[in-house]
Amino acid sequence: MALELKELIEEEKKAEKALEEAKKKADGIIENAKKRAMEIIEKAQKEQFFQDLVEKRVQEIEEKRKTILKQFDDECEKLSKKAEKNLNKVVELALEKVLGVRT
Amino acid sequence: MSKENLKIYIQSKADEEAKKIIEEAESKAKKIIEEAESKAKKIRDERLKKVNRDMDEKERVGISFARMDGRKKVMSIKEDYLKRAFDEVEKRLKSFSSNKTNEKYQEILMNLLKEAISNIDSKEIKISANKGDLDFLRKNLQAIKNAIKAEGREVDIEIDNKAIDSIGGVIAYSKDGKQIYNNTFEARLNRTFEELKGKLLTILFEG
Repeated sequence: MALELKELIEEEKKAEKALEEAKKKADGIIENAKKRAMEIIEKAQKEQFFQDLVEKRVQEIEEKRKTILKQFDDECEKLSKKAEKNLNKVVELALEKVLGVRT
Repeated sequence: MSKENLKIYIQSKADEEAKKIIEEAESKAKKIIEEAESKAKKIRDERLKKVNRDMDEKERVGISFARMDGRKKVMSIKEDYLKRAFDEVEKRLKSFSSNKTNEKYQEILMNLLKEAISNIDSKEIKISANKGDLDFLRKNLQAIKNAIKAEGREVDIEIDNKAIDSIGGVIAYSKDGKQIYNNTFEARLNRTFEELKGKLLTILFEG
């Protein structure tokens, strides 16, 4: 009878040990999950994608800015050509007005 | 229950409990990962929204400044040419007025004088001009008075002794100093460019 009880106690100890191991394994699983979760969030915060997006948009804006300035430069060039051609006409008109007679 | 059965029971109970512990841990781990992924998605979405918002604003400002710079350049070109026209007119006026014996110049001076006098509502008028023009006006004072009289006005005209610094033309004052009409070339030049600025710009840049 004493022997049987001892065997049962041994069996209980084994069962307890198995449970402890399971708990340890469970803790490991949760710990790994937490680490992975941290990595996922850190990655989202650092993501290179946003840096690339910003650089791409900055480049696009610069291109648009250059295009606009080029359009105005072209307009200025056209205006200069017209003004060179018409300058004397304006001078004559203003002179006529200042003197009150045709020169 | 036999001893063997009792041992099997203890083992299976322990196995069952261990399995449950692992399953619960796996379920909790899955939930942790899902929450992290959801949080990461939220971070990405918000960041994307912010990046786009910031970049849209940067684009709006950048384009607005580019347009402003461009318009400034266009305005500067227009003002430069208008100034060139102004300077050229002034240069030609100086050249034209340098020959005081030129009949055309004398005729214009007389016209400017008449116009100045007609703008002063007084019977006593004083006239100022540059030295060369004053000499001409003094010499022709009687002719001037006659010309004014012929237009139906009788005025006492006094030629100032002190010459003014001017390209040409006259300044007429009422004797009491309350009225003044500046009909010098400089004043007329400024008035012309002020009054006709729009028209001159249109002509300059037409075609």
